[in-house]
Amino acid sequence: ACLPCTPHPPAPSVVAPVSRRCRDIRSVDVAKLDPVPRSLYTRSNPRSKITRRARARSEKTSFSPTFAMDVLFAFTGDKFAVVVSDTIAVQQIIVQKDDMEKIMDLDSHKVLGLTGPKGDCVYFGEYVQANMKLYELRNGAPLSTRACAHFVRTSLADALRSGPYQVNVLLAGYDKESDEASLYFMDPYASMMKVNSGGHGYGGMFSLSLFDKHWVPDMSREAAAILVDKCIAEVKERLVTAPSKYHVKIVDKDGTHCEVYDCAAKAAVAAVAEHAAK
Amino acid sequence: MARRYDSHTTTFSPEGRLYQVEYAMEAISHAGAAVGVRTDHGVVLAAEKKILSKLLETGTSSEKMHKLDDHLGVAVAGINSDANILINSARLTAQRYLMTYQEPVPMEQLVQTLCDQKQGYTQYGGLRPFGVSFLFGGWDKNCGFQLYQSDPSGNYAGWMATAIGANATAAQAILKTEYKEGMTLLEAKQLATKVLKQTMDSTKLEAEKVEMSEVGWVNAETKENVEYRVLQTKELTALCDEANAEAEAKAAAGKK
Repeated sequence: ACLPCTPHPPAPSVVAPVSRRCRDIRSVDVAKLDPVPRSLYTRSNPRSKITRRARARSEKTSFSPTFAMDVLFAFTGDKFAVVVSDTIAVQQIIVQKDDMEKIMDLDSHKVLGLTGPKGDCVYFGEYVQANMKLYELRNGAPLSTRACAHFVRTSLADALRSGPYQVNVLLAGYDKESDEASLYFMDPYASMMKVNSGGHGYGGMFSLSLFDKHWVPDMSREAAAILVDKCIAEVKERLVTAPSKYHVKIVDKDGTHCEVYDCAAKAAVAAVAEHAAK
Repeated sequence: MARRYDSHTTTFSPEGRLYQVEYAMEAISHAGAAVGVRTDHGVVLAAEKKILSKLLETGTSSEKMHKLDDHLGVAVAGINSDANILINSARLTAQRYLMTYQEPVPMEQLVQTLCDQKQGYTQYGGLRPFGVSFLFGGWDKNCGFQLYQSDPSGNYAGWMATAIGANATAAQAILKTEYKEGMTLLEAKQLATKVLKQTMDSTKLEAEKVEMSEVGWVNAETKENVEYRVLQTKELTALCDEANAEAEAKAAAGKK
């Protein structure tokens, strides 16, 4: 047998409508009115729920992503795609590490390059990686590059109006069915475009005009290597704190390959060759 | 004895059976039959209509056939109101997938999601299971044309040809003998009609008593687009007449 419940207070015979915003003046006891009506000072009262909620929302949605000093650019070639990023991790003026991976492997034939605040990049990148893996496990086959790109964009779009991921994305992948490599550009506002070439940040911007001049459809590997050299040289010349080490990731039918592009080493090699030629 | 264990859907009996699920399947065995046949050129779903009335508005809604997406259709056997809930949920799943991935949902994923939902009602919540079995016919780029069957327990399987609803076992036996690999879509339609005729009560098959739909290429040569299509009365009448004629010929030959 259950314990006897305490009797509930009798329900009111008429349910008066209660508005959250403003009290219906007819339902308020005049004697208990506040000296200043609530609606007038809630915005400035930091303890008020309304102010807290409004401030939280404005802080979350009105972000202005600063241009990160990360270098990230990419372009497509003949059945392959190249994604280049720098490898430097900086906190204010300190270089924390110079071998950071900013281009993640999503699966055997897809890479995701991310720039922006490190926390968002790592979290969002791992989130996409995990979901790609989960999809492949559940359904026996990986997603196509296009579907993956749309998934990434949808994730960014869903978070946009509550807590956006402040990441700049370049997604490159090779699809066996179409025997083609494709590249997708996304910004922190969840816009997406399938592109032939693209770049994020200052470093990316410098390469854009080089792409305009030198990119052609179905580039060969050699031509792609020359274009990468040109872009990195431009970055080194024009960016005030240009990194000297880069990761060049290539996606093609054999998977993803990463090459470390060390400007200092290359310069040394070139100097030696020049000296030998003399 | 079973009485003690059959009222709560989520309770096993001592023999390890879920009675509510079995009773749900029993309910489906009284519903109109549905037959599905898969070929390399398309999938055919055929069903027997139970609600026959001259006053029914046939143009607006279908009793047994439903479109889940452009490349996916489903035939229902069981309680139609239960089916509507699940069909709505399947359509949502398909569109959510399309919105996220910008690709049509692969069939097995959709069937899995729906079956997971059905299974939930056999394990928790205290609600009765859905009294519906489905035949899913459709296409996706990974596995081509596929036919799946699901039942109230939430189990599903892929089939080359199968039947659900009334006289399903008899229909399956006929399909086992008559199905061959490499059939064309027309042959599949003829087979489905024949099987329906043999499992339905009446002697003569009429187009009003049958509903049929197919998922096939829009253009058989280019093979670009797949489309779910409900067959028109004209085509149905032709198929039914063919099936009737064949049966009569066989009966006449048998008498000799």
